[in-house]
Amino acid sequence: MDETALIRSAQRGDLDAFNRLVLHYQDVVFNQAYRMMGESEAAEDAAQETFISAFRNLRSFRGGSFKAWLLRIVTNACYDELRRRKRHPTTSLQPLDNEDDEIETPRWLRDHSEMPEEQLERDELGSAIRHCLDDLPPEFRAVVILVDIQGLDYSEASAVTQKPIGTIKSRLARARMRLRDCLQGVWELLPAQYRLFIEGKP
Amino acid sequence: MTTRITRREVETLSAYLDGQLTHKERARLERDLQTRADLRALLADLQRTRGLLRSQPVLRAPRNFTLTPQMAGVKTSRSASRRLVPAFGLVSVMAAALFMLVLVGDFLSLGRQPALFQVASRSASLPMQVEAPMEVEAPASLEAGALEPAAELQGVTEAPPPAAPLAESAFAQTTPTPAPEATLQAPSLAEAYPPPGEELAKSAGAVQDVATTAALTEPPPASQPTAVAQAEELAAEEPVVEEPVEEETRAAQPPIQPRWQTWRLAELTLGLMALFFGMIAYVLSRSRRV
Repeated sequence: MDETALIRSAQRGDLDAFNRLVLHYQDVVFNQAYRMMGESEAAEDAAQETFISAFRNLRSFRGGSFKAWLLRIVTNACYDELRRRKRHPTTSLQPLDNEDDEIETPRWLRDHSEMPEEQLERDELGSAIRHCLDDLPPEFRAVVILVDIQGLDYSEASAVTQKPIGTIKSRLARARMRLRDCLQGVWELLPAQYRLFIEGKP
Repeated sequence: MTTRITRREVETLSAYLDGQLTHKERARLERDLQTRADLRALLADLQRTRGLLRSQPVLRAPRNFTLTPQMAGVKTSRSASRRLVPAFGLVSVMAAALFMLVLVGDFLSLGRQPALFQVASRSASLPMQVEAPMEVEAPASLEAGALEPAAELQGVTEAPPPAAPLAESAFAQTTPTPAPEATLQAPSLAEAYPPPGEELAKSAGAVQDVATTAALTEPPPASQPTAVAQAEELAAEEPVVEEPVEEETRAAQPPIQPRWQTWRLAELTLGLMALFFGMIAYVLSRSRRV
């Protein structure tokens, strides 16, 4: 895929060319939205809004990383939605567990193809990470998602957030410290094999 | 010895994990890590946290987020033409309605058309008839100002009551019985309509006759041709009295044919417009369904 040619075509109004870019980047955009919002439906809305906004403002794209440009749009869309939710809190329709915490995916809808123990571990770890991410301020959350989940380097994260690299470095360190405190208990519960696998990751 | 880890050291450890330190910064941190256990412990915690985050699977989008033209706000040429369908339909309907109105108007005026046709055909076969008297009248009218007595003479022939005594005295010198002569002259001039050459010749003859009678009765010399011209003018007006329909049709002759053609032209134009725009609307509406 010649990304530059597709972007040029899309800038001239070629919707098919733009949709090819959408298909290529939709997972990245959806991941960012999902980690920022913490729920699938809101992430879908944010991702769709991102691509609509991107197409309408494609002429303002002056080159550079198209992925970073898309991530900036989706991150800003999530900021806006989170601010709106803070002003107008809503009651979730998700079912609650015994501790009145939301169960995002009810048990009767879960995929049982995995072994129950593995699934439980993955679900618990994922749920814990999501919970800890939600506790972070949105600015910190965005940076840690960009660098530790999306795998961007500092300069790319700086381009997405339009903040200096020093700010990225600082926010990332503070976010990791908070996440360390939050995930302390989860780590202890993880099986040794899984812990070794995680520690071995670069 | 217990030392508190500073915020700057945490940032340095975090950047160290990501390989974002310069060679000098990294060398200094590695030297500190060898001497300080708390730094090593924190580095391990941060590495674990970072590992946990990076172990998260990349989620696949639950659906495609490709844009439709409506979502993108793209106006296609097809959608623009779709919007014209009602306009074309409206124009077609209006043209059809006007066509019907014009058709009805044409049929209503059809009752008068046979007579008009007859007159039109007759006048078409005699193109010079209308113009011939005018040519004869022209010199008379030119001299009308200079020939006042002739007007009195004309008044006698028309037999209006006020001028009767004078006219009688004047006319008695020229012709013993003015009324019969006038009636004689009128038909003769009226009969002279068809061939303009004959009419001119007859007029000339009449002028000659009157001139001779005028010479006998010694009227004013200038009035002689005028009197003849006036007489001819009278004669030209006589048929108007006798055949009013013919004169009327003659006067209405020029606009007859254009008006009739206008009806046809309007019917043709409106009919074609109704058909043309109706077909466009139909074709566009058909293409919308495809």
